[in-house]
Amino acid sequence: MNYIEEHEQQNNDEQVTRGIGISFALHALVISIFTLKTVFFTPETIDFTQAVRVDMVGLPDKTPPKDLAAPAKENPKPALPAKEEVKEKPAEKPPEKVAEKKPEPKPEPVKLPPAKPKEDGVNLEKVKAKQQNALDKLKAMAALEKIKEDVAEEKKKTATNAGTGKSDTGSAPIRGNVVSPGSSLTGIAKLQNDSYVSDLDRHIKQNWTIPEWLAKRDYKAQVRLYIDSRGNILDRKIVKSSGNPSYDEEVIATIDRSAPFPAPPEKLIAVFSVDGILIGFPE
Amino acid sequence: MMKQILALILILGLSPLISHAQSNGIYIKMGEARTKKSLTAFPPLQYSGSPSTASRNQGVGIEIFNTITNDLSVSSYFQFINQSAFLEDTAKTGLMPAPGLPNGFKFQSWSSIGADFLIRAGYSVVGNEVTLETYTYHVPRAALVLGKKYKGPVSSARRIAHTFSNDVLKALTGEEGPFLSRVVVSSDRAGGQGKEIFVMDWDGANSEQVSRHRSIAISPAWSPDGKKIAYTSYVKRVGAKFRNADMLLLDLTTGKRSLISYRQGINSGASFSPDGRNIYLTISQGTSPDIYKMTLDGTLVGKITNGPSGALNVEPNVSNSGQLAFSSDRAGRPMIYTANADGSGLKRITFAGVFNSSPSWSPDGKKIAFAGQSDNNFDIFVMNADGTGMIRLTSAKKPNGKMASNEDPSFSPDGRFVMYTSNRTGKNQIYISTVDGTEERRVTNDNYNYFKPKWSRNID
Repeated sequence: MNYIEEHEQQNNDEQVTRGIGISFALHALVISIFTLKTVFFTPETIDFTQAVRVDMVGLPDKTPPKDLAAPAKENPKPALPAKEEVKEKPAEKPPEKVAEKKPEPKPEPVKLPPAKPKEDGVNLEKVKAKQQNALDKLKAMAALEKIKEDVAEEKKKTATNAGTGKSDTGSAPIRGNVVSPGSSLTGIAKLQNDSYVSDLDRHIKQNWTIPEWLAKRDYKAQVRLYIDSRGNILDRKIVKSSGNPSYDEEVIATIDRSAPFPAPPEKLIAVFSVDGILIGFPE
Repeated sequence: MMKQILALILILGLSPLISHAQSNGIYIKMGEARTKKSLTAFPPLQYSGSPSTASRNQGVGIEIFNTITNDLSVSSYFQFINQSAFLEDTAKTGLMPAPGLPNGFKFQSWSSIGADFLIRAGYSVVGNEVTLETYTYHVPRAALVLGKKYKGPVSSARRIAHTFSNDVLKALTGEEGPFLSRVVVSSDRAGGQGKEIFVMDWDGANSEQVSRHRSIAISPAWSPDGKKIAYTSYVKRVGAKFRNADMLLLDLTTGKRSLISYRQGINSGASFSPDGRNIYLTISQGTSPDIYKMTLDGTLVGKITNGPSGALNVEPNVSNSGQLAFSSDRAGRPMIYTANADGSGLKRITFAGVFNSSPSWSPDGKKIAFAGQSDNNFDIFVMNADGTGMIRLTSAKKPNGKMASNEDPSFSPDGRFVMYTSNRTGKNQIYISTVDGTEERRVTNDNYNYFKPKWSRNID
């Protein structure tokens, strides 16, 4: 009796061990299949377009116009929250007020303030934004590579080019005083150009003011501005009139108020003094 | 001919090249500008009549001055410079600039205090006639923007002032101001429990009682030409046993009043068609109220809304292009709907809140204002005609800390303002707000209640 029991016991133990072994093997197999799949196959994108989201909608808050662009984000409650404090309007309006008024046409504010999606992962736009971010980073890295190459090349060329004072950057050489048409700046010059242009943009925007009676009338004017190496105005002229002399006047006054401008980087002086910069008011 | 075609082909062929070349240059977009109010100097009016009559007529000058100042402040374009900052003694300098006029003013004394505009004006009263002479200058440009003389009976002094304000706005923006418009409103200011219909200037002046039914008169509406008013009053017709909410039409020029709709139940919420020949109104006839169209003599032309059974279809408002907006609870809660003039093309516009009522079209038909409720009070909202871009104009507390109700919006004739009532002071008073909600002002300032104000067009 004892022996038989022991034998059975042993038999059972063996079965359990084998079972566990098989179980492990199967688990391992499943895990490896999925691992391999994620490594070698790009995952299917899940189509969210069919999803229907039901939002609780409330009437919008009283917001100063500058905040109109994104009421949706601020108003997740279905009920009406308390009014934002916009008591007496100061005589001078806050500077951002109209600067940000125009983003209205984008579809978001147009919705009644709905509850904003909280789910991060399911938001396609966010995913896309992330991808875009990553792409941008890659591009930036590529640009840096390019700069390194350029610098190396420049060093090589300094021997032959010595004395001209102009450095070649990338495939589009700056010849004499004129950038060849159709060329685009690359490498360091491109970065310098971009950062300088954004400086300039900020600088002029500070002075971009018009009287209220000219606002909201869809006037559009374009100015070509030429500046010298120290940022002084060489010339500025309306190349596209808004059709309203007062508006054009305000545009020119804005340019004049903004002078002197930040001095352009040495390599780009030619661009700003000869070709000039086209500035759209508002576009 | 051949040459022209060739030239055209050449231009068309080159145009992509040109635009290409341009896109290579550096291009900065400035985006929307910040705005500022124009600093404006408006010295007191000079009296140019004979000195002996000056003190007697001082009141006229002050009234004109105050009316203009109020109009131009409301326009939201101007900010007036305090008179104590003036460098010139404006009682002694002339209305025109110095080189031309020997004792004229100097632009320099105005540009140095930062003035963008200078308004110089003088007036005189001869007999019963007042003359206002005005010169509006753009100071930085040293240029005359508007120079105009106005004449009229002394009793029309405010009207002259409003006309000038309208002209200033027209000269600057190309669009006429709203200051010659009037307001028709139901109010308890005649005393007692009743409500009567009143007509007044947009700024609350020159109020005039136009109904005396010793009853409750409500929901007035302007005809497009501002010459007729339709309203509803609980009147007892000869031979009738009960008071019924009947619609009356009052001709302001002749004073003739006629009963135009007295079907049993409600005959209310008039809104004139753009040609002024028809009235849209709500008729209940003992069942659920629907919107009908009728002629000015009361003949029904059509039933515009139809059910669904038991649903309310009320408060029609017709745009200048004939589009209809109204409030209906067909989907459960009262919401704003739009439709064509014949009731086709029905579209639900609002989905937010629990009770949206009294829609009002902007003059250009691009926006709709309405009163919306989500808690216990109504507030004024403005949205695009398709329901997008909704913004809130009002949010105010009563003295007891509770939220005030703001109701019954109506657009100004230039579409830049919305008028409505608010009980924030404890009484239902009239307020106006800019259409973007940035500036709010109280219009009436008394102890009475006002209901359903309707803003007319500019009235000649």
